[in-house]
Amino acid sequence: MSGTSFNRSLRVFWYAVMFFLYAPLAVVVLYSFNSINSSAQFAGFSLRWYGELFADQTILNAFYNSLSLALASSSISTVVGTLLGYGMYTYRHRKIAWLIWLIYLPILMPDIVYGISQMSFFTSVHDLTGLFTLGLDTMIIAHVSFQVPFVALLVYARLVGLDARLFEACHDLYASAWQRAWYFILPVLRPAIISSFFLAFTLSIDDFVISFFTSGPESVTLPIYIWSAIKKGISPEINAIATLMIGAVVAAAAVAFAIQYVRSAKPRALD
Amino acid sequence: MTSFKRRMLGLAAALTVAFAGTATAANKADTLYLFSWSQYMNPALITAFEKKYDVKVVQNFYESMPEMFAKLRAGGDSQYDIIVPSNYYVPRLIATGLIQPLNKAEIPNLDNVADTFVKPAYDPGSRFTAPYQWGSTGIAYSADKLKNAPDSWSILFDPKFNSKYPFAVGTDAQVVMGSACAYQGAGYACTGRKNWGNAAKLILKTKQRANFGSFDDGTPVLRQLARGNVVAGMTYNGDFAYYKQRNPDAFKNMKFVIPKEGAELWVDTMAIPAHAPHSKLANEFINFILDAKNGASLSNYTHYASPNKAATPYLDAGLKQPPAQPTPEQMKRLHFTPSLKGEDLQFVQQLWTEVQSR
Repeated sequence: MSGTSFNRSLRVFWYAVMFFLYAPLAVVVLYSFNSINSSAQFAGFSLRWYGELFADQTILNAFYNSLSLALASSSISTVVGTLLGYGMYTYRHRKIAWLIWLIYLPILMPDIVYGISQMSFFTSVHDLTGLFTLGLDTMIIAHVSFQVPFVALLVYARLVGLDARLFEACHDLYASAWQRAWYFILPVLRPAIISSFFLAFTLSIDDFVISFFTSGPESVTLPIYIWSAIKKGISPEINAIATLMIGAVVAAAAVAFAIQYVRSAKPRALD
Repeated sequence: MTSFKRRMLGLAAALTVAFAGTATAANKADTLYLFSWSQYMNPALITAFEKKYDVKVVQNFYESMPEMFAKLRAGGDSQYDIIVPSNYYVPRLIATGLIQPLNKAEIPNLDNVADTFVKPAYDPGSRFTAPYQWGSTGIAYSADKLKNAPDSWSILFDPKFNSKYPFAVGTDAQVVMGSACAYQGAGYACTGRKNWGNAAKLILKTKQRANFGSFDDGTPVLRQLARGNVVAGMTYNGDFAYYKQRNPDAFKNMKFVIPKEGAELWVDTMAIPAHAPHSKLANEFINFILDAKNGASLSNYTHYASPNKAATPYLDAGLKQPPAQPTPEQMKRLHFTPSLKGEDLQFVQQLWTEVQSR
């Protein structure tokens, strides 16, 4: 509705914001097809960087580490965070409700403070007991600990929006605690659990500082690899892997959109 | 306790046991963990080493000395087998007990090391390190923008010479302070609080100039140069030669100079962390790199000069002239960065923090 000029200027503002957000991504994608090793001048189209990417074991290992770390940590944190969120909801009226505010600590703390403290913790425990050499398991522990608050808060927010009497209604219908969980709580929480899983996944894939301080020799993730390559130069292989990641996300979003479209366009069966 | 709670506790216990049961040590008996600068090792050498000793080599990279030091302190000295520290960091590593003496019986190729590097001041008796590559840090600049530039630090530090175009200054505290000292006449390897104080004041003044670009060195500044974002910056001779050869168009008008007042001569060395998991293999790796043909293959890849006198016949022709191999006149201008410790080191680091934060 481009009626008023206010609407028109809002639309222009919208396009400007979209451009500002997506132009850098477009540049990354463009330079992944560069024919020379430069991110300064574009000399022609070529697929050589994709070829080199799939031959470069170091980058592929780093990407694989990033993915496995993200999957492992977000699975664990979704489970733990859901339990924590439900616990927060159940005890929200009791005297220990103030404990709930502690959950904001990992969210508010700057990553670098968090990362250094994780590293000091693991090295002191290692000096005392010999457990926890820095590596994939310490990274998973560190990632889970900063993802859990996000998951717990999302689940808590979803539960707080429910009518509290629904829980009693389950009890009235002779549901045991397990049945109540399986037939009522989990289905109701499903959107919160799924979205918090993806949030945790994104936080983990994206994370550099905490991964950097808790990584070991065999658990280099993609951001750490890119960081360590800065001094000596990054080739457009990095652009190639970034383009593939962007492509994967776009494809997933397109599939989700298509499913939603098909579902809404299907004629509803009569009950 | 309700049966629900009991079941949940059982599930939690099972998960904990499963998680804790994951293997802690992933280091196989036949893996070498190499911790070095990126793009500093010829992949062909890695493959050759893997084939010769039937092992796997896992490479990790750092992009600054402080980062390597921090990783070693955080338990890395029992995880990595080979590190590649620069000369001025070696005394620190020896003093903190982070590296172990070499087993010279397993490194017969130590005889190949050139005489200049046999008795280094930073590692008396060569007990802990073997030289890897050496080079210099100088100024790379665009000759078409900065015409008639002298062989001097005034390219960077003199506001009258360049008041228009952006330029970059290095990121390493001691190297930049040394170059400021050199410009002020105290020589590159200056020591003493007065000299350092004056150097820090000069760098601060430089940082506050209108056309100051950024703190960048090495390859990032070469990319900025190629793009035209800066017209001058500090970089390493080998990086310059490498990128000039790969990208002749972009580097057509770029020159590399070693300033006459004095510049850094650095030697990167190979060392073995104190509790390295495979120290025998690490010693064998050092011996492998010091072999004549392997040393030449390494230098031909990195475009830096080799400290290996036995490798000289196998070096590419381009490596026997500047910028990779400085002329004798240029060699007179090159000095090692002084190795500092204790209060001196704290003082320099504090000065650098002040310069960066003001």
